[in-house]
Amino acid sequence: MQIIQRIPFTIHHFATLGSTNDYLKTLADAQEFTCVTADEQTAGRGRYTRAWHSAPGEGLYLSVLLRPKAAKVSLLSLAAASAVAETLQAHGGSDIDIKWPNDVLLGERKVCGILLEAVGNETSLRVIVGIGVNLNHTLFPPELSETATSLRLMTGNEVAVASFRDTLLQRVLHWYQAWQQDAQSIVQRWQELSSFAYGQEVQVMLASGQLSGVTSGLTDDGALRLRLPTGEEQIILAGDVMRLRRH
Amino acid sequence: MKKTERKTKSPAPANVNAASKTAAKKAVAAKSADASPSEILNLIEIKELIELVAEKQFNEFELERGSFRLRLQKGASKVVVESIAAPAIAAPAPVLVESRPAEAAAPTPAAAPAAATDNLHIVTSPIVGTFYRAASPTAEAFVKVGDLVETGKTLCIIEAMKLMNEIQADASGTVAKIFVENGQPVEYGQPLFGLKA
Repeated sequence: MQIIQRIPFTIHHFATLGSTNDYLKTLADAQEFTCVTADEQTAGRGRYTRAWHSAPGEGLYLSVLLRPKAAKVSLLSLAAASAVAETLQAHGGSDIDIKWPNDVLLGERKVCGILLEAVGNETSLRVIVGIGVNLNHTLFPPELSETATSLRLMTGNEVAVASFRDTLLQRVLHWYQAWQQDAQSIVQRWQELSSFAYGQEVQVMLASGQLSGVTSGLTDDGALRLRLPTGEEQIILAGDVMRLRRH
Repeated sequence: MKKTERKTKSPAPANVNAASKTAAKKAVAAKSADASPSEILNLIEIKELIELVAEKQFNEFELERGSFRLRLQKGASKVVVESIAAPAIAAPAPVLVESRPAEAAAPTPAAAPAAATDNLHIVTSPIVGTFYRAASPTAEAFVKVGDLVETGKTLCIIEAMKLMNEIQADASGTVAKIFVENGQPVEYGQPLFGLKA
């Protein structure tokens, strides 16, 4: 394990870890801005422990510990996506998009997975922001090849992982501070960066079924407003969004 | 935000699994140590149900949600709120809450009965989101009824926008009641677990 200082961040870097989120979660007394990174994740997780493809040295696998004082932390999920989108832009990415709530896309293919975990109560809340970005992958397994991409596949250039990491940490810090001062700035920025925010025909898979409708922006909490064919508005807090037709 | 997909039949009494479709509607739930039926289904929701039943011209409407049962009868001007006895807990007496015939008013909190959740420590949801009893669809549930839990033990996960909130026990005790089914939406302040000291 290697310790890297990037004030205010302290990075614990590993060659291989099961999951950077899981490891960081075990560090109960860690200070805010403690980070865990790995060249390779053997048990990377997506939402609801879906497996996430991790290969050695090809991706950035990063978890950041935040200890926010405010309770409304779900906007940090959108803030993390904005930070990744901006970092991709700074490193030559184009055709960047965010699918609600925090799937970052390059050329309509998934380049990044974000999973946040909150542990504890309002007086001692720990939020672990887990970010996995495909940087230097040149090949994906068949089941992912149609839906996943990497920054290198899009730009043709090899990506310096440490440099990408440092830019990303700065953007995470920027949006974390913005969230502390004015949480609505997160909603505004997300809506600027995402083509899904308004007027998109989407299908949403919920735990209890599915819904189709047209997106009409986010609520103050970052939930997705969906206008149903009946004219009613449904607020989506959790679910998988699929675009039916691009507008 | 609208309730959707509420299955009702008319004029026969319909059992409705309301928990699945009340969705993440923001409403203020009464905050007290004891979970009264008005917490399980808050007053605003009960009032909306009464209006819905009146509008759809049902004669009778019945709804069950865990240990909570609500029956609305037209003409009788009567709202019946009762709790079904949960295992290991004394059965409460059904309570009638009268409403005035002219207007279908919601029952007042003062009339709320001593329910099956008496003497239980209620763990409520700190956020609006989706309730999961396990870390994954194949994993074992964090807790089940009858389990002894210590303060700080993870009881469930509530997801909102890919933020997984681990909800921990804020008291120790035996899990006597689980109010919400896996995968269901929950609201701020909604009772999740009842712990018996």
